[in-house]
Amino acid sequence: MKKNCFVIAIVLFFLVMFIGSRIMRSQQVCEYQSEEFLMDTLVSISTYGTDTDLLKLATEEAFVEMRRIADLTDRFSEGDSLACNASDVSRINKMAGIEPVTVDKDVVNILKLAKEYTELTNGAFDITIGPVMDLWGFGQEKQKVPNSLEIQKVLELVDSKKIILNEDLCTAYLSQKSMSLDLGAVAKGYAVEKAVNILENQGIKSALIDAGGNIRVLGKKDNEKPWKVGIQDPRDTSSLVGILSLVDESAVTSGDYYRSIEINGRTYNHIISPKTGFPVGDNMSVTVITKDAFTADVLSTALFLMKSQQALALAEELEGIEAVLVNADQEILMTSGLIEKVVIK
Amino acid sequence: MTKADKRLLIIIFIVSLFTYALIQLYFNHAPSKGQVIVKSKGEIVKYIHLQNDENVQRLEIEGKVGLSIIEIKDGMVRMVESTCPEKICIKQGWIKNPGQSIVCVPNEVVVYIDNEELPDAITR
Repeated sequence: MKKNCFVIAIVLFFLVMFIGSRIMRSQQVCEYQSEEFLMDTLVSISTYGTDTDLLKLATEEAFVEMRRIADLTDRFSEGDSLACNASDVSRINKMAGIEPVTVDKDVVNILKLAKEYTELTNGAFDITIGPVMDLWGFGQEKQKVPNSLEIQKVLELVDSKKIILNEDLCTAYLSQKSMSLDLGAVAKGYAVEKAVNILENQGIKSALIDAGGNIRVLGKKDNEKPWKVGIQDPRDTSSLVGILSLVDESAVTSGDYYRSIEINGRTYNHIISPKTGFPVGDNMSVTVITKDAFTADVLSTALFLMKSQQALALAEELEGIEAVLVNADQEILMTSGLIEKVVIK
Repeated sequence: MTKADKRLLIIIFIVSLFTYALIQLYFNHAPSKGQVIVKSKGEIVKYIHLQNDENVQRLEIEGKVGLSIIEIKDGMVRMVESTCPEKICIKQGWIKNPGQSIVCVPNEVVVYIDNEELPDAITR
């Protein structure tokens, strides 16, 4: 009897361990992380859940969608290459002043939304900035500081009103020759938001997308606590200005320290004002926090290009928009709704 | 089965549960913090523990278009040389906090500090 009891005890021991481990495994939240170089930056997607196969599938599908938007909006694909034919933006630019181009619905949507934001910000932001960016040489091998005459000439080509859209036929047209679109300030945010839609449709409840510092979080971390997102200090890359607590939100920063060029000992940042054709110096960085990554991306650039107080006033006025600004005097300004969401360091 | 046998079985059952809980605790504890991870062309090529060591440690990483040189000192890390046109990675300077990263897009070299600690990400 004692021997039987010992055998039962051993069997019971292993049974408890086995059932316990199965239950734990089925309920344990796992992370699936994947990253890719896309849209001139490193994009990383981290998804969390109990089904690893689903996490992998959803993440891969999200990347497929981001790649599709990246291909459609790449303006540096040239000639008759495959990449150029795949890029609606390259085709629109090539056909500027010639004829409308049939494009993807998403491209029409991006252009329509971007035009609305140009109006909202009174022209502080404009996606027809392409000729000015080309004159400076941003995104190209060689850069230069253009003279005022050159700038005046290309500024005549910057006008979002000259983007003619036909939503029914899905066509886009730049009505003046030599005009060109630069979706650098909007495409990444749009692609991130599309990726989040894919994850949500796949049933993912918790995820973090980091597209070169453009952050979008889905749900809560471990389904219980807000995500902590640091805001980089614009003058000390090893420090943070503050830490945000985010749930189902996006935080995007535009700063004068990232992607700047140095010519004759002077530093010029890559965010050019569509009004003057030159970089502006009123802010060191602007972080916008809102529900979607597209709006955060557009507004971070637009507010960066405005005077600090004017930018803060606009952010306060807009519903669902919060912002943290570091102005030229390195003072931190923020919207009133952020008080419970940010810890300033 | 005697009363003593039943008692023994209950004790073994409880001990099994405790053992299981202890094993879970032991294997699920958080991994070490402050670790520099270097990736080249999507693959992890180096793991280095970040320590407050005054001695400069230099790492040569072969990227997509050429060489990237990383320097580690006093618990901080930076890119000092890189075969890329705009040198954005070098201009970024030192990083030291978990979650921070240096990304060289043309050379596909990524240096980041293990983000097991908060924050989960950094907007920049």
